[in-house]
Amino acid sequence: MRVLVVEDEPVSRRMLSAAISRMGYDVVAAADGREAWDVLRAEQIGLVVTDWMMPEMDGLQLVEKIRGSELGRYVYVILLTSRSESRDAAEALEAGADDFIAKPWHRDELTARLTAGRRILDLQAALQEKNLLLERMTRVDGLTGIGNRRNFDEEFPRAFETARRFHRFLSVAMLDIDRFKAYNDRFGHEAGDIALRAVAAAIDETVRTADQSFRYGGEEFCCTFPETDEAGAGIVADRLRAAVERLGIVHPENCPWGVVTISVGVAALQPSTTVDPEDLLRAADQALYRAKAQGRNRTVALAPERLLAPR
Amino acid sequence: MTVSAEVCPIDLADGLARAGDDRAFYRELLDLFLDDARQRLVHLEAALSGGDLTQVASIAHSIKGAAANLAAERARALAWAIESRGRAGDGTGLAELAGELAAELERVADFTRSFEA
Repeated sequence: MRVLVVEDEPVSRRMLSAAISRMGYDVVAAADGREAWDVLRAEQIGLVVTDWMMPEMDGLQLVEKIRGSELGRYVYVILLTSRSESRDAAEALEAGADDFIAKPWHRDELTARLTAGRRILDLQAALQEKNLLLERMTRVDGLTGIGNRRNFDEEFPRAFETARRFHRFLSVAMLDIDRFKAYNDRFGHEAGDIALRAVAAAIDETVRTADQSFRYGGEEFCCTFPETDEAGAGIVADRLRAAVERLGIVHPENCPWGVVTISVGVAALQPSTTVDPEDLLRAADQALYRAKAQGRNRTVALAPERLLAPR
Repeated sequence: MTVSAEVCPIDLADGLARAGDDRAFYRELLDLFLDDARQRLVHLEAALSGGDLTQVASIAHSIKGAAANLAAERARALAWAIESRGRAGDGTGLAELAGELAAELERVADFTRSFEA
């Protein structure tokens, strides 16, 4: 772990740095709060040992600056003080210091306090990692492992805004497993879940790198195709349809194919039109409805003028 | 200020112990100290003639800390005296104390020169 020593007086700075370095830490030294702040922004510092009284920016101001800013990580701060009144300790802790050491410091105490700091940082890091994992889990569909509805609801408007701002095409596809209720009725929900997983995997493996696929709900999926017009999206979408059919998951009720298939509806955002994300999604839904009406296991790309038509 | 000038400027056993009984490191610290403390003393005297006693106290505080770290006991005591008077806003005798501190730093310098790392 990297430790930043902040001390304006060079003898103390050198002694502190040497002592901490001998404990096995990677030490960076700064001569005042301002220099320390530059180091903190440039390097991955876990722990700061800072003197209180310094010119320019003192230790207390440095702590306040660290706490008042977003460094993207928790920095553990130990304030060194020759002031021993409990009022000063309270002030240090209130400003945001985690601990303080009275000067002159002693090696054993310094070692122990750094160890304590490190323990807290380790816990903090483990907690942060878990939080990230949980945060990621809220965006992933538990059954299929692809993005969930919530993920789509966040990503789609973002992709839409980007496309509109830069006058790019954006296509979206709605995909629905044909006669899935009949499949579940015949083989049970467990088999249904297996089929859902296989279909999701086939879709996710077939889309291109910049495309994204999500489970929209139930047996419905959706994909976004950035920088893709309705002709291009139609081709990619039909590749998805073919990939699902090729899985060959037996589905006797799905005449005439006898295997699991999907119907796909595609709609494209035209650059410089004034539709909103819901319009685009609604158009894809209409296209999907048509694909179903026209006999299933097919892809329908909605002509762009449909999007421009008044609601 | 009645600190005897006859005693050794450094408590060597204590100072070495603070440097982890590393003679070369201790010598390095002494050099750092002299270099820094002499500069600070110049600033201290400037602050003193400008009547900025808060600044005087702050500079003396730094010298005191470094001197304590090296077990330069008399330099520490002088710096402490300057700091506390400066903090109290009492300017009497400060110029004399600063002069004594300057002389004491030179004694530490003599000691450092004769110190075999």
